[in-house]
Amino acid sequence: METAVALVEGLKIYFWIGLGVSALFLVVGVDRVVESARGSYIFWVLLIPGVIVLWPLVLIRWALLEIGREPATRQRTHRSTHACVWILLAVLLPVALAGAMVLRTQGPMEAPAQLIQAPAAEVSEP
Amino acid sequence: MSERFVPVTWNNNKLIYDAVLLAGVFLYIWVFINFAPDFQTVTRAVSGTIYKARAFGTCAFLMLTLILCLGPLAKFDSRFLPLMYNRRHFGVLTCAVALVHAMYVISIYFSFNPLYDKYVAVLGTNTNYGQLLGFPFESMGVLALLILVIMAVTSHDFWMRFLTPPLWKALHMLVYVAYAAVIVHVGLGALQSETGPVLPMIVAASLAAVAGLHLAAALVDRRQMRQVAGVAEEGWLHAGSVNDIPDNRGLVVELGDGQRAAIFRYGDKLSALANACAHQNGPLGEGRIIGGSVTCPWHGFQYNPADGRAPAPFTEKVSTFRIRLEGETILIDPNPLAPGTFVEPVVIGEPA
Repeated sequence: METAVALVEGLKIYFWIGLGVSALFLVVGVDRVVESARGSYIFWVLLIPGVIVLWPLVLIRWALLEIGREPATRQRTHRSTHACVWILLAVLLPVALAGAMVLRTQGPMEAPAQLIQAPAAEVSEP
Repeated sequence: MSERFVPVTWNNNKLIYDAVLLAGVFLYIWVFINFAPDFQTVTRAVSGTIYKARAFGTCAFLMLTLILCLGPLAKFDSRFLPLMYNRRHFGVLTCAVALVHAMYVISIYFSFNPLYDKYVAVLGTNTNYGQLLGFPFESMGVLALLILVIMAVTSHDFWMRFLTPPLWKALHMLVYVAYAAVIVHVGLGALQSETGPVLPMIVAASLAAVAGLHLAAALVDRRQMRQVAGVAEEGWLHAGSVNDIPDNRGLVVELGDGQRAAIFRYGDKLSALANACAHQNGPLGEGRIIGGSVTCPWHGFQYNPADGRAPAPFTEKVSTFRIRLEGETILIDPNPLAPGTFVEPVVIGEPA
């Protein structure tokens, strides 16, 4: 339980930092780094959840764009990764599902119901 | 396409798409809540609130299944392309439905712990990660939900532009991890208390459809790439024959290192662009030339074939490639030029 408590507390801190970063990004950063976002104030509101969730990544990209580092010109497709991922999943997922079904047929839910009786009360001799 | 960002660029097609989606979700939830209790096959009777949680859970699962099937289906049959058009709204709605499922589950099972916060209870009540029977399947649901949330909050074009297309695509390919987590979540969760055949059959059918379609798409993609031959001479690759390309269509060629180019034939001219659309990495080479512009089959983004630039006032651009002809054989320089660089189209029949 201590790990879960620490994790939830950590997530709360992450959220509050993210909220701060989103305020900073919207006030200072967004119209500096993405031209099409300039002046689109209603649209900016839509960015808040994304900045909160990905604020470390946002800070890195913001810094890279501020120093003028352009993304690579190569536009790789993802097809080879896609093929590898699905060959792996096509093996692992049926095994996982079959394992779950085996567990189900042998699990405690399938055990016949048993009538539980309270132990007979001891009758003391008068 | 680009210009100033707005929250949602609505048009009639998107409105119809979203209306049908919402109607489908409401209809499914209503039918499930009202009729599923009549077919109860669980080992222990469940309450109405649990049915609501299951209605939203199964709905999110089926929506995720459909979303994952759309890509390969559109590759095999162009009649599915209109469903790809607004897939991001489908994804955002799936995330919302999954969130409602999670809120019901937390309120039913984890809100009455006198010692701990309900979110702590979700993560800490069962920590038997070392055993299959009684595995904390909730954690798999949390993982899947987290990925769906990341995808939903970064679904706007801004994020593609800001994070760069490769990083954005990598983030959104996490949907496969989310689907795997959902299969484990359902298999070790809901299926363990289900005695009837319907739910296991639905899960198995979903898995067969999603895995089968994606494997088939990968196989077709691999076969299509075999037509690309090896090195022709220093710095140039054989890309195929002019006769392989119908008019106003493209030929996709593998250039190594995961990079692909699409060579387009329009009239007696040839030009080559990167195969990945600047919008959402759609396969440009599977599109057509409409009105003189290469048109992405996914969302209709257009590019001038000679310089890879979207027509004004739009600003998207993709890389271009140098090509030349030897007889009817097309040779391509595998090194991409900077996005938007003009390359004089090759004229078929003209001496090199």
